[in-house]
Amino acid sequence: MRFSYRNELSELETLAQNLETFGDENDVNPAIIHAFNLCLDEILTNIISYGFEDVTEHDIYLEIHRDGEMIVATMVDNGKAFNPLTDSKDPDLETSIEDREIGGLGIFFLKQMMDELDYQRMEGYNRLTMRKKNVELPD
Amino acid sequence: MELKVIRADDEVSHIALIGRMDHNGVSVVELKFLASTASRHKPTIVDMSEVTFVVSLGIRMLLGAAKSLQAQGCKIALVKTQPLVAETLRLAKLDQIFVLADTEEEALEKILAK
Repeated sequence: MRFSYRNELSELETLAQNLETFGDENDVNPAIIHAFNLCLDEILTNIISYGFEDVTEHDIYLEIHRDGEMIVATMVDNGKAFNPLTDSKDPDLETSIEDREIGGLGIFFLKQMMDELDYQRMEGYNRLTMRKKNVELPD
Repeated sequence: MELKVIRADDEVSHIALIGRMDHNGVSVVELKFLASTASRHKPTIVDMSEVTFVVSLGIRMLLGAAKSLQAQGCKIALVKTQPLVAETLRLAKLDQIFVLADTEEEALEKILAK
């Protein structure tokens, strides 16, 4: 399934609805949809909040499909180059509460929750692909 | 997202969060959340039973209250957190900062313990 979003934070609600629809139509475990929703919400928030230096409207694209046991989602945007696998420092979650910072937590979730991640920068577009194995629900 | 005040007296603050703790949800409840928790300077219980989703922004909101309360010597408990939300909080290592409890009674006992 293919979806597109404008660079407005209100689009995060549409993303959640789209993922529910995808999950229902492709028999995906709700826990897996929850994980994709969290990770894609964090990525889309980053793109909308920090990806564009102008104030004009931009489209951000999501393609998501089921490939056997795997769920594969690719988000594409033409914002600033940003490789979440290398350009974001993981937060120090062992530090005391006084020193605990929140920056980088969204990308950290992505690295923890997905089975595979791949980033490419091609012809002015960021292309982030995430894969996670579906877990079948008991009959 | 909604916030309900369950108890606000001289002993504890007890609130319930309801809905998705995403960007929109946090923007709706953040000020009321901080006013109902951190600003009251009391041991605090947050009922999470009707929170279905939490993103990093929501975790920042929870951490903000926890930092403020702990600086005042008060504990904060998250109660009845749904499993998928609990997994997100565990990944963020919030289980090291918050008291986690399955019931309000358990939470009350833990946050009031010296």
